Amino acid sequence: MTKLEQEFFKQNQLLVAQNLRASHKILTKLEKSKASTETMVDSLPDCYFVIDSKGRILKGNISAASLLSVDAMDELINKSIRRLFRIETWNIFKSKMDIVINNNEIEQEGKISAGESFELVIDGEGIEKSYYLWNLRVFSGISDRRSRLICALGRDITQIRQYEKQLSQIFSVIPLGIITINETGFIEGPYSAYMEYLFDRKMISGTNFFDLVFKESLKYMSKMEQLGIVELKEMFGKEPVWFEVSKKRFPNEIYCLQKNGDGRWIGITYHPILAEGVIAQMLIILDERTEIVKARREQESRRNKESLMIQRIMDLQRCDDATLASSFEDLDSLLIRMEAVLREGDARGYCNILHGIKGVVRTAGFSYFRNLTHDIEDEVLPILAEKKTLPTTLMEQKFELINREWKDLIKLRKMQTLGGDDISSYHSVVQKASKLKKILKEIENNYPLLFKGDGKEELSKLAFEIKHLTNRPLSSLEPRLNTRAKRTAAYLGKKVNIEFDWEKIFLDEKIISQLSEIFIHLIANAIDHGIESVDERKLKGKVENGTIKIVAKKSENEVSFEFSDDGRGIDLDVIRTKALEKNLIELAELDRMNVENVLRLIFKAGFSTHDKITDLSGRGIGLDSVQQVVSRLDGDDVKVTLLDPGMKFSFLIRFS
Amino acid sequence: MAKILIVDDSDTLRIQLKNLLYESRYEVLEGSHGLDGLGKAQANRDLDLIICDFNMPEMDGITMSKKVREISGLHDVPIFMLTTESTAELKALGKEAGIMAWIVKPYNAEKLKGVIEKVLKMPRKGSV
Repeated sequence: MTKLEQEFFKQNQLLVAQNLRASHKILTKLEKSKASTETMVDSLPDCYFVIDSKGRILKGNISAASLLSVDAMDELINKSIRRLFRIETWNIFKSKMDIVINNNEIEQEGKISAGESFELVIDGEGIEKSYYLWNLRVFSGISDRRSRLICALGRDITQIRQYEKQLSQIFSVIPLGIITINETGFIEGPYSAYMEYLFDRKMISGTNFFDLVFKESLKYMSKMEQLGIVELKEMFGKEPVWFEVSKKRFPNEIYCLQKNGDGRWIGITYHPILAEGVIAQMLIILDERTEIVKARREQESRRNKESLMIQRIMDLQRCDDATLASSFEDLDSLLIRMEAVLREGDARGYCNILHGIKGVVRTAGFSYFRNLTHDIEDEVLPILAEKKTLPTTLMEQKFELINREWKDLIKLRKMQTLGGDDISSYHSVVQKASKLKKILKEIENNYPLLFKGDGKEELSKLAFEIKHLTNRPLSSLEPRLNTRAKRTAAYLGKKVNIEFDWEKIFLDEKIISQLSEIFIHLIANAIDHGIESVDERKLKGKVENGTIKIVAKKSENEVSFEFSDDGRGIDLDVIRTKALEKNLIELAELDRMNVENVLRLIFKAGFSTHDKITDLSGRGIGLDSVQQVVSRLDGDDVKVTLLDPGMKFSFLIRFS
Repeated sequence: MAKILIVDDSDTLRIQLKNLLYESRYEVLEGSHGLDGLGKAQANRDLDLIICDFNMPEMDGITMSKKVREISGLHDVPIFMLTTESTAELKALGKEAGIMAWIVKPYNAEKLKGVIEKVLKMPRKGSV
């Protein structure tokens, strides 16, 4: 061996030794990694088997050993996995194994198969029943020449199943409707059983949420809520900020009619479910809120009532004493008369008095009472116009409302004046006086001689005084009429003065109160229709203030009245057209009429020259009631004359 | 009648601006911060003009404007930005959000009225 050769050999030996060391190192590493992989597999919480096609176990991990209740992993070998199952269940497992093997043959090489996942219960004899999620795939760590091996991974899902069961139990008893909807608006996946109860139908999954929940309730919704539904539909696929922006408008309380006709309030809350930063689904929670809403409404109405009471007290306080006194007096007599016409069933009379009450309370400024009468008029007048009469029950019902309000007002006023109850004391005086009068009449009838003997003059004088105990001067009406006129005029932006010429005329209380009704109507009519606004009067060269004159003259058994204003009067052609328009008269008949008769048309029920119904007048009620009262006081037809400027109403009343 | 939305967190400025717009008989809506303004815009897609502040709580004016552009029907609504300062940087941001005009406080009322009138007369890009 040459020296060179020796050298070469030595080096070669060194290289071999190095290679050997390296391979050994690699082998040890491999061994180590295999061992650690095995430890990992062994300590998996899921059970792991490698089995052949008959179910014989070739390998298993610790969980698998404990599942088959053997002490060591080695003891697993050659045992069969069949022991885990009853024969029926085993057949299922077997068929799954076949599928995996067959699929693997079909599939191309190099592709990792996902295997077969399924749930199967472990129910073999002597083994605790539990639910497992299985995954089977072909074991590829061995050559194909031998029969195929399968690796089976089983995970115990008994616990999860239990949770699920509990959850679904909770889900079915919780009194909330819980659903999720997807971007198409359809209800997805599980929903709480309460949902079926709320909407009274089975199988809600897969139905359209918007149809189910909002279709019926849409008509009770506000514009905002309807807009909210549109926004809700557009919400999917958008950023959550849009949800924040729109959520105020989503309907949060809806009213649904059930099959049995009862209404139900349902509260709704919305919770967006995000995926990748946009709204993918919406969790919606619904609850029954009928009781809550009812309670809330009750509370609201109670609060309203309280504030109404405060409003009434304020109204009473704001009203000056004179107006208050006269208004209470008027209302008292009007309500008594209303009850009377109600008994007679006189619908038109009823409406006239209603109108009168409205006038009084408006002037006094009793806002609630005014709205009440206004609403009642709105309700009854169309019926009266159509049927010419009113159902008694309706009249009674409305009278009850008015009467209650009136009683409330009296109570409040009593509270305010703390016993200074001048109204009732006034009435007791009037009542006592009329009793005295009755007694006097009885004395006159039963003891006529008394008035012929001694002291007959004194007796006659006394009798006269008693007779006139309930008399009042007409001028006692003046403050009331003045206030009324001033208030009405102010309401319309006009100015007016009333001149009275009826000194020293005394009439019975009952007649006076009816006369007051007539004048209230005439004054309202004159200010509304006759007297022009301040500007218009200036243009016409008239003084700013309109003037109303009331003149009365008394003869023995009658009093004649003249009521005139200096306004614009009334256009005859307008009367003619309006009368025709309202079908109050035939054209042929109208042609034959003279001026006076044409003017008298304004006393027809239903006549008004106002196109617009105002709060004040224009409903065609007013002047016809004037005629009615005059007739009741034994008067003739009211005469209307045109003046330059203005117009005049004259009438007389008779009494015995 | 043109419908204008004012978004500003200062009540006084809103009132001032509102009165100014009422004089010209415009319908005015108000938002007190960016998010509120966006909500108002979402609910009123027939807006003709939006005037908004830059510095606002919840959401600033530029972000709000960008979001408004996403609302169908409002992608071409004119937007005015009302600020105390207008730096080149801010203006570049605004351009991106499609701000039509910058109004620096304190503004000249008559001038503003004139500009609004002119803008409202211009045809919108989206309306063919």
